Amino acid sequence: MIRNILEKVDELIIGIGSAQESHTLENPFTAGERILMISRALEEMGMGKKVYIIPLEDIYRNSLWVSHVISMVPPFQIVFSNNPLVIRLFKEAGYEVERTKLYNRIELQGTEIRKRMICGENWEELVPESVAEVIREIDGIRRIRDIAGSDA
Amino acid sequence: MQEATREDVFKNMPEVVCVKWDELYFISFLDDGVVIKAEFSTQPHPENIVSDVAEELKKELEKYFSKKVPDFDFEVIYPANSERILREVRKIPYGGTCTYGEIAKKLDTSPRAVGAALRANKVPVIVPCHRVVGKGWLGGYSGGLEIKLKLLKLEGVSLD
Repeated sequence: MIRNILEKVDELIIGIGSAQESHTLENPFTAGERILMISRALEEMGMGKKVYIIPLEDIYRNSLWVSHVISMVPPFQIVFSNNPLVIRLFKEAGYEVERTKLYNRIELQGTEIRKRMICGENWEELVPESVAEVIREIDGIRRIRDIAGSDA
Repeated sequence: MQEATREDVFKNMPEVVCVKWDELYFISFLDDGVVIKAEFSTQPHPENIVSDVAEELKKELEKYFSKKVPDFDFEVIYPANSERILREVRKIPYGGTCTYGEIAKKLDTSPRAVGAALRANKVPVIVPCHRVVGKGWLGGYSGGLEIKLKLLKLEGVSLD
């Protein structure tokens, strides 16, 4: 997906959503850890173009969200997303928005990856090797297993 | 921008049941009420018990590991080509054993096919593959023969 987008643009800004979150099942990793995974994966892909990775905190006020994003990132002309709310908000603000392909597959894989991590099955085959390395470095599997646990 | 709610994510997570047995832990994983995997470990695994099925499984496993007869009537995953044999294995009662040959004969297949199906069993204990032994020998066990022996001893099987 990133490869496809990079073919169309000169520079890419990747927003790390819900950046304030970590240690939850939806977002087990800190914004910093997610930046590390993405940047290592981009290195592994060997894309020559400039990529900014910017953490974006939730502001819980949709009408102001686009201005919030604009204030956090370098100027941009086109938005890639598949989230209906993101698409709606950027369109209202007058931005060109393009849907990304494969989104569903990635969303499903997130669930599958977490499931395999919890059950001790082979999750590494579903992520780039560089990402698996970061997750191992930060002992991410144990973190996910711990936060998936119910209070007992 | 939040994309998935906490409920969405949890809904899709496997449940985990962890029961201590002496120095070991028996860990079972459930997906949508079906036991998809079980294993022995020297390390505990954080539990995630949400459904009644998982709660029931925990109760029955605790019963089992404290020498009481459990009711393991849970839905489990059967690997392709092993279902018929593993279903037969589930019929072996607590405290009983069967040989590879006996099961093979009953299902009109070979003892080696029985061995292969048992090796493919993803849910030991609940599908009691430890109750299948060789004629005059203990047979194999993916979790290690020590555990097989320990399970048979727990059930009061005498191996002479």
